[in-house]
Amino acid sequence: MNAKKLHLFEYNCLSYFLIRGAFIGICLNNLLIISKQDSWLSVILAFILGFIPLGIFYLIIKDNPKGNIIDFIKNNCGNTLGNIINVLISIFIFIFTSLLMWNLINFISSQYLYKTPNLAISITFAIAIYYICSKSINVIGRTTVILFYISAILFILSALGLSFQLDLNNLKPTLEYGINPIFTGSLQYISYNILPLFLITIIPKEQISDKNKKFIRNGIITYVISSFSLFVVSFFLVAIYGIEFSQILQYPSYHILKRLSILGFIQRVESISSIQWILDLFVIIVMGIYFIKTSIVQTFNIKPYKFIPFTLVTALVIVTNYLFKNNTIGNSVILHIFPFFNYLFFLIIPTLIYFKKKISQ
Amino acid sequence: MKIKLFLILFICFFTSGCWNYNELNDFAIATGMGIDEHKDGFKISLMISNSQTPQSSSREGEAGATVFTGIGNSITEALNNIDIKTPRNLYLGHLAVVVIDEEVAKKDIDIVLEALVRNPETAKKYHIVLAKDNKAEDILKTLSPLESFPSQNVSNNISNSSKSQSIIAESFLSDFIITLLKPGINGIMSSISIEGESNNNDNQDDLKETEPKAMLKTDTMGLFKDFKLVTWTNEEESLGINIVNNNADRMYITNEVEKDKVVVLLDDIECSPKIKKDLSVVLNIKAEGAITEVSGNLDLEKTKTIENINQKTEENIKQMVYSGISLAQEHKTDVFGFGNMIYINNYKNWYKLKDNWDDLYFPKLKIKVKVDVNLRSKGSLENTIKEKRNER
Repeated sequence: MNAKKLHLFEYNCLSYFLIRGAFIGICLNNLLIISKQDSWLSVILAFILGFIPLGIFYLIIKDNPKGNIIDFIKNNCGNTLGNIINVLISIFIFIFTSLLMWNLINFISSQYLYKTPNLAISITFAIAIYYICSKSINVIGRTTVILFYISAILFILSALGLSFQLDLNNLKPTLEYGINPIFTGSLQYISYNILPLFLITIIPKEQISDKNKKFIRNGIITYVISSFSLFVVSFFLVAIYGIEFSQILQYPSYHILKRLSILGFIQRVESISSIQWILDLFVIIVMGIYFIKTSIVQTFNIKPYKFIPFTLVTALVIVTNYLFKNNTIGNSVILHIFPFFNYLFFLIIPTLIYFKKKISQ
Repeated sequence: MKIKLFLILFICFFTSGCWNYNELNDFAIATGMGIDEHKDGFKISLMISNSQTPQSSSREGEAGATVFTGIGNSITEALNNIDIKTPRNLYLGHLAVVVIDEEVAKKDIDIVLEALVRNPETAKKYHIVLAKDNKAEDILKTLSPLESFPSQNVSNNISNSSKSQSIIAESFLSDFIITLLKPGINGIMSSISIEGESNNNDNQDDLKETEPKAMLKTDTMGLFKDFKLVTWTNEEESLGINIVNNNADRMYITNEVEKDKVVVLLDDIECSPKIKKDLSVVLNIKAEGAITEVSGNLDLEKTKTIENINQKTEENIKQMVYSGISLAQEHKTDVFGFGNMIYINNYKNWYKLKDNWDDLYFPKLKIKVKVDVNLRSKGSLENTIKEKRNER
């Protein structure tokens, strides 16, 4: 039984990826459009405000140590309403995961494999996603730890290599457009980079083998580290490229890696160093599918058949390829429509249920 | 078991990353690109650096280079025109330099930049230079006895000249676009030209002569206003502009002191501009260096003499800076980024000025230059040879 349990470190690695997952191509582009050269201030503000959803997620986990979010909703809303809410949340998470998969495929096809059909790229990832999701959470956890080490090393090397090219004048003038864009930008950041932490609530606290070892403290440290890594990206990007050039690039955080120079002689390593972004997206997609799989099993009280992740991943591949007609529509939906649904399903509904429980108690 | 076997085979055959695969021999690797004006639009020259039977190059055992040209209404069309002439796929990922004809730059360089930066294959950080008094195609075809590829020759030449003499400043594609996009600043691009007879060093046999008939040399800089080339600098103006923009790493200045010539090498030059409230600019320039050559019998052991040399150097730097500023003001192009400094320090004020900055305010901008030179070393000699002889 212990083999199916997660270690706290694995749990925290998952949180790290969930926070970073939707940054490249999604949140960062929105930040650059909304907050412009003050994007890094938006990240700082979002980091502070983000303690609210983070606190709510941890309260839910703490309140319901033996079950996951699906049980929590069922227990507090009754079977019928609870199931309806769970299905709605699962449908939304499927759409959210499709959006992330679309972004991943779009990133790879536009920057690396421009002659490869999107379907071929998505099938490649789908196989890996299916394999991991068909196993138990501890397999996801172990995989995530390996990916975390790769991602962290690449991130540190990238940051060190780029740090000599910073021009702080590019960050000025500060607050040119007032505080509103910074606030709006921070809400975007919370919606895409903090609220997906909701997915971690699918893992019951009981399933963590060393849960008593400073569970919340370690969670906060993970939150600080992952937020800091995203702050560094937004800060470096504007400080090196300037806001004007950053805004016109499709994946600026990838393009900036083309300037990476490690120790003055290791250059043109953008393809390797940008793997960190692919890993981020990969893990969050895996967690999305795992969430839906668990939700289906618990909502409909069925066995965890292997056809469930297979069907989900197949549907994901199909939906991803037809999700948006073109990038322009995709970007517009990401900027204007999706954040509201993120708040609704990842924050408002769980919060309302939590407070309903507290009031009824 | 059967499903697992099927999956393993599927993964092996279909997901091994071979979809986009290309053998190296299937690529025509372009390391240099020339963009010339043509009556039908653009004439693009591509230096393909992995030719089997090169027109030009190379030492034994090295790959050879061949220049292909194509004409088209747009950059992409011209590149496609080259593509149909080559049996291999064009690959732009190793571009080291793009040479742009001055006629193209005078019209609108935006079209060129747009095409170059949109291409996902290119690295975005390669040299971009103007072809002065010559066609870009001729520049790409001119061989050097010291480098295998002309594109490498141009690229190294620019890097070297900017670092050793500061007559030009290195301009990379992404940096140039970053500058053009910023408010209150215009771009500068280095240039390259052919010394000698153009079209006379495009064959390996030409290199066998002791003195090649044609050689590439870095020339002065082109100043842009918006996206158009408006004027060329001379050497003095180039140095002045590079000093103000902190692009001068090293430079030699020849001073006339007490009728003798003293050459100094400045290698630590720093310019700190300050904009005052009345929209006047003060440039504080500090430079350190060494004496490298003295012709005459100056007594270098006297403090007064060193002070005189310092003073003369300061006057010369001032002269350079003022001539660079005058040229930019005359052509109404703020290549120093004074407008950008106003934007950074007081954006509200900038909003009032920005529409007329280049045409009205910048040309009338009062600029005061303060120079402080310290020649800390005299090379290997304490005094001049002549002076020592006179002592005896």
